[in-house]
Formats: sequence, structure tokens, C-alpha cells
Amino acid sequence: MNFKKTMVAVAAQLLLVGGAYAQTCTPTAGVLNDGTGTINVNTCSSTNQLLSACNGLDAIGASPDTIYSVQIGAAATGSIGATPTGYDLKLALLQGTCTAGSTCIRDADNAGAGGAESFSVAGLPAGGYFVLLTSFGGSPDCGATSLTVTPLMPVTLQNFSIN
Amino acid sequence: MIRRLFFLACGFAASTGLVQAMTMEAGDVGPIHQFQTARSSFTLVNDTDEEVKGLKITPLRPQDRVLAAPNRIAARGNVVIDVEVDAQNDLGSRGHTFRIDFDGAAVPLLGRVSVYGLSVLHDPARVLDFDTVKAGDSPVIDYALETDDPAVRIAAIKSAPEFVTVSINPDKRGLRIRHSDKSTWGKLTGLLKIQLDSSQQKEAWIPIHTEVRGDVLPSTTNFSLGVARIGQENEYILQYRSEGKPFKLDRATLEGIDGKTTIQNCTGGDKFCQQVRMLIDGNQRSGQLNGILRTHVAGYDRDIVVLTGGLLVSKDVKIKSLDEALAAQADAPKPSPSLNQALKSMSVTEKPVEAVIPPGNGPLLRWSVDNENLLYGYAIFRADSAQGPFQRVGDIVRRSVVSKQGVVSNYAARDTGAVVGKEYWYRIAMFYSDGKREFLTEPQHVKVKEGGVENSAAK
Repeated sequence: MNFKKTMVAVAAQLLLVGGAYAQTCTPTAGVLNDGTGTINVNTCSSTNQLLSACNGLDAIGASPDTIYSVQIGAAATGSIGATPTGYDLKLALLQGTCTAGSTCIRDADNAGAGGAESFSVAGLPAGGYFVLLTSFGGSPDCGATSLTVTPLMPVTLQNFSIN
Repeated sequence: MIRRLFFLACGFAASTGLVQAMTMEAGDVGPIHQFQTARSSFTLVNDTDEEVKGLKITPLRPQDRVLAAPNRIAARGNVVIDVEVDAQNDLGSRGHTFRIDFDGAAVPLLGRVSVYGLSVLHDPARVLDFDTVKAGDSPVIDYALETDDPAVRIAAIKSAPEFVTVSINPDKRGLRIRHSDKSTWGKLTGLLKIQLDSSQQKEAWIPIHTEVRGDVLPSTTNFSLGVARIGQENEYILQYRSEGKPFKLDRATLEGIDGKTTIQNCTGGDKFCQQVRMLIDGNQRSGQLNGILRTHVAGYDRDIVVLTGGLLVSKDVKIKSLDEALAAQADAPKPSPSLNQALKSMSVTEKPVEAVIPPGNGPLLRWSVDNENLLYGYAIFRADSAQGPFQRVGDIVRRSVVSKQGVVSNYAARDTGAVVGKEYWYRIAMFYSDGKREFLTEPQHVKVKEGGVENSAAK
């Protein structure tokens, strides 16, 4: 099957004929502007698609890759986080639906198995991105995962003293 | 951090049909400055009754090294793999990966060492962006070095993108970056690599971006391939136009992405328009596609560079919209909580994470925070005046791994280098996982006494 994608002059919008999605590249709103919440997904139902992430520096083995498209609106300030069950999650935000390339513009892989990962989207240009849920590897390398979009919760200083 | 790895040892599996298991304990270097090297190790444990032979460890980053690694693991035994990692341009939490091969392995395994990359620059992620530049113009960006240590100097320019010329200011604390008036057209990006005269960091890389607009303009200089599909012919068209002057593209090539290009006239006989048809090869390595489309404009003898990329995935992979998934979740009817559930949720009280008090003498700084899930850790910064400069004293205190949003975490750190009788101003800085640094507190003034400090009001 041949599906055709055409970019026309002064491209403000990506036209994808036969693509899996169509997104505007200048959104005024998106999940982090007017929608937050949690979805539950089992990443084991996905298949391995990416051999590496984040400029090829981070090998992610043969783990299943669950990919969502996401609209991030202008001046979004929230965070995207995910909590895996029993496996070591790598969470990344990739460019790719409005700007060229699929480099990791944000990523998180700090906690071990079962540990929650999250990143902020503050400062990102409005547009369409991919959210990637995968794993560095190991076994299990997938499982039930809650993916959460939350509004900005700044680090809050409760107390500071010097003795 | 324990990661459990499974592998198929063919000979063994052929006789037993079992899958052998190996456990990997990842290494963690902790915070180091960019371009520093550090030694670390990860451990492989053979959880089976079969000896692992032919063990071979290969770093995936060319700058990393394996220092010592045996070539076998005894049954139920373990081995420590000593490695040296080079932080290079790492900023924030990054992983250094090592490929693990051994006899009979169906697929290689991966070992890992974590690094938290620090920079002496205040804003190491800053991009120097010329924005839009008219072809033939040569604008200038002046860059001032901002570091905690005022003694840091720029020693030399190691390399610069070809579209700029760079000179070091006489005080060696700044740069003058001039855009070339003869540069390639289109979207140009590159790294300015400078050598630093600093005991902590020998080098820094500064991204530079520009978009040069000549007489012929592509419809975008940032062309998204979106989602391309494996095994399919992925076709894209990018148009180029000029204002009132016919032109001819005589060459178009994809760099970094496998595919073919064809130069065509635009439909309707528009002589001020040409287009490039790209066929992205659906049989190249799947995953991330990142490259450029380079076209050559005859007559002007100029290339136009367009950044190009996307994701290459299987035909059957469905990429759902997170926005729609969240909306559907929000619309779904919620089950009413049972009385027991409600009581249970009311009775659960999350306990705060208690601080570990460091031993020794010197001012003890204590702080409590909430919503720290994006942080890597904290550090004390000290100055001789409220205006600074503030410099880090002591190690970075790692964020508690058990901290949760909505639960207060308590921390403590001690300045064991403080001199009795001196006055200092202290601040706590927070280090985000992505490498960004911000101050958490305002400067607080103290005078150090034997066995304690004399506080004044926060300033």
C-alpha cells in the first residue's frame, strides 16, 4: 500500500492521508492545558519497535514499545508520569509529529523495577509529540502501567533552617 | 538497582526446554561533571546450574571502556564487570549501556551504569538561536559565560559549526559568534565546542541554531515524516517556492535516512515552484528516523537544508491519541467506592520521609519539601555575601527514592568546611533529573560559632 503525505506551502498543518492520526501543529490546547488524568495500559500488548531511544545513546533492548501521540498546548507546564508494575520503565517524549526527527526531547529512567518515572513538559513548543513507554530490558520488561498527566505541581519548600 | 535478565542458552534449552536466568545489578556513578570519566561496575549473577562461557562485554558508547571482565560465570556464581564511563555531554540522568554476549545467547543482554551529568555552566541546555536570518546577512550573538566559579575561563574553541565564526573575548569569559553571510540556506544546527580552563570540566558544548532564508524557500525547514511504516512505500512531497523568479533544483539527497528522492515540477505549471518527492525506505532499521533533506539550487549554487525525521514502526502498530484516551477515561462511569474502601482511604496516613543527620561539625542545614518527583537531588550553596557568587559545598544529596507526591520529605546536610567565626550566606539548590538547576531557598545568613551558628533573618 502506498500512502501519501503531502506538505504544502507554509505548512501549519500536517496532512496525513492514510496515517494513523492527524494533528494540528499549532494547538492552543492539549492534554496538559485542558485535560489531565490517568489511563491504565498493559505494555505487554505492544511489540518491540525501537532498538534505541534518545539519539541512539540509550539502548532499550527488545522490550515492547507502547507509543501514544499527544498534543501539548502552548505554555503547557504540567508533567507526564507513569508507574509500572514489576518492571523497569523508561518513559520518553519524542518529537516527531510536527517537527522533524524523533529525538528524545524529555526522558526519564531513574528508578528501578516498579519505580515511577516522570518528566515535565514546561518550556516545550506547542505541537504534537509521541509518548514512549518502554524498558531498558530485563525480565519482565513490560506490564500493567498507569500513565498519568498532571498539572504543574511545583516543588514546595515546607521548611528551611540552619543550626 | 537489580534488573533481572533472561536468556536462552541454546544447547541447554534444547535438552531441557528451560530458560536460564541471569540477574544484573546496575552500576551508579552518581553526579560527575560533563567530560569527566569515572569508574564503576555492574554485577552479573548466574542463577542457573549451568556455567556461562564466552562472556564478552562491549560498551555501546565508544568513549566508555571495559576495564576488567572475566569470560565465564560459574554456575550459581557472579562476576563484577569493572568499567570506565565518560560523561561526555551528558546532562542530568543518563544511562551508559554495555552489550553482553556469551556462548549460546539467542540475543545479547544489556548492562548499565547510571550517570548524573553536571555542568559548570548555569544554563547548559541553552540554545544560541539566530532565529531567521536573511541570506547574505551576518548577525552576531554575544555569549557570556555564566558559572558558579568566576575563575572559569574559555581556553580555546575546539570546533564550531561551519555557518558561524567564533572569537573569544579578551577577558575569556565570553564569545562573539558571527553568522556567515555565505552559509547554506535552510535550517542549520550544530554544536560549538569550547575548551574550558576549569578544574571541574574541561569542555562544554553549546547548541547553535539558525534558519537562513534565501530566494528559494521550502514550505518548511522542519519536515516531519510522522509515522512511517515498515514494509510500505512511505511517500512525502515537499514544495519549494520563489517570489517572482524561476529557479531549478538540480539535486536532492536524504542524509541519515534511507530513501530515494525525485525532483518534480509542481502541478499546474507553476514556474515559481518545484517539489521533491521522497520515498522513505520501509526496510531500514526501525524506530527513530533523524536526518536531513539537502537540495541544491542551480544558478544560486546554494544548498537548502531541511531537517527531516519521524518514527518508523510496523504496519500493525496502532498509535493511539493520549488526549482521546484520557477523555475516554474521564467519561467512563466510576464505580462507587464501598464503605470499607472509603474507610480504608481515610485511615491511611502517609508518613513523611525522615532526614538522615550527617555526623561531624559545622552548620547543619535542614529542609522539607513536597512535590519533588522531578528532582534528582539537592546541594548546599554558600557565599560570602547575599549577592553571591554562591558555590556548591559538599556532595549532592539524592532525593529519597520512596518520596511521593503529596508526602513531605525531610533532608539534612552539613557544611563541614565552614570556619568558626566567619559569616556565610547559604542556599539550597535543587537538581532536576534533566540536569536543570534552580535554587529552592533564598539566601540565609549565619555566623559560625563553636557548636552551632548564630542566625539572622533570611535575606
